Amino acid sequence: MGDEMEEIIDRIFGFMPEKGVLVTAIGTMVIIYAFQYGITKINELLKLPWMKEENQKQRKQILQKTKSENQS
Amino acid sequence: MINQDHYRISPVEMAVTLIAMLLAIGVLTLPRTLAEILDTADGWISVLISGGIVMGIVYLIVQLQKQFPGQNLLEFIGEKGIGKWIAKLLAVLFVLYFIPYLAYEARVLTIIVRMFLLDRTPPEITQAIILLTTTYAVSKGVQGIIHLNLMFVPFILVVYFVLMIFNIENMTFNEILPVLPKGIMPVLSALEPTMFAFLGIELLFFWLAYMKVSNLRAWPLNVGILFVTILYTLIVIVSYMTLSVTGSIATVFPTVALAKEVEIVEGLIERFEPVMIVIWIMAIFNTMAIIQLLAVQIIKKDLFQVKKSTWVSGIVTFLAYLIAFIPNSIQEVFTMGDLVSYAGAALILLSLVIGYMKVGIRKFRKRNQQHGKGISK
Repeated sequence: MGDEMEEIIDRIFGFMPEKGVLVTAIGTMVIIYAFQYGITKINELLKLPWMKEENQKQRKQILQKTKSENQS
Repeated sequence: MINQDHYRISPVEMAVTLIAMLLAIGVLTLPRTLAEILDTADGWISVLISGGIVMGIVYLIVQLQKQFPGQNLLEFIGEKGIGKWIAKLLAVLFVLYFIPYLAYEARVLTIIVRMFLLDRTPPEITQAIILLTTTYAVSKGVQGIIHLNLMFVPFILVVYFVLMIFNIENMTFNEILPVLPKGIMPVLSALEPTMFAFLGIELLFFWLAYMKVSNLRAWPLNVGILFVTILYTLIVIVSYMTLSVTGSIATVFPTVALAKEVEIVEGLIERFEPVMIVIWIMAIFNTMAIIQLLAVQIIKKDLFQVKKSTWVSGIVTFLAYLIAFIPNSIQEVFTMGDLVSYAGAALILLSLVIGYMKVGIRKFRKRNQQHGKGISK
């Protein structure tokens, strides 16, 4: 019974790579994802106020305003 | 979509990047491949001819790029209409080419590391480590990778030249004589594998977009190709003169075997082989990082148009990792390499044809429009 079961499982998952390869591949992917996610989060948290997108937009608007005022 | 990145690649940087991209596995196996096909020492003639052909292709790519400065080929093709779908299809094909290419390079690296450096470390671990390292390089973008190339390539070239210079005492000039004993035709038939050793120029389709219009010239890039051609030619000649043609056929990686023969300054460095392997790992790291970055860039920019995506690098690495372990033996790995090379050559040709067709269509339309305006006046 055990052998038959193994044979069926082998037939179903026969195309899959070896267990060691699969586990290391998943592990590598998880490490990459976790590090990238962590680093982007840390970068977002540590952003200084002038680096934030909304503040940069505001800065551009203010600069444009002062330019147009100076011209007029 | 015009290239928004502020970074601009200078011609010298691009030439060095080309050298870094081309010097990978080919440099280790080329003498054997050529010796197997020709059975004579004329392989170096094939290398010189291939170098010339590749220079021509680089010239064509640069001329094409001049039609759409600041854009990569896929962005240019996919500007409007049916071109969008053609660009998407081409992008898929490039991704389907780059991922197995990355896998192939990673697998050969694990084989070499196991053979010459770390014989008890499981290949799975070696491969995971190199892919993690390249992923880190990829996270630094084009600028990071190009600066790495600038740093590594001089060392790589110096080590190869040292390898050849210190083999002079082992060389026998007669081994490469007579020249062309079977005529020119066999040499021409060996062009295929030599051309494959130059694969990597496809990066120009994507990274010439980072160059200023005034810098879009073929000759600085062709100087890079010339360096590679000279290096390949010398390595083939030195391999045959040191190991003989039959000896090169019997060795899986003749260039590494050359390193075994070297003894630098009365035994100052007796075992040059690990030094050479370490430097070669730097070279293959450069190539892998460029390939991975190209795959990630195409997926992000041309396939899904997403700016922030932490998953792309992980998925590319995962797929490359699995594909790398599909071949069961060295022979199968080289067969996989052949398949990848055919795909690469076909893609370069296809991209050039589609690119020039698009340029032709655009010129034809413009002329028609001007003609129409002329009539209406």
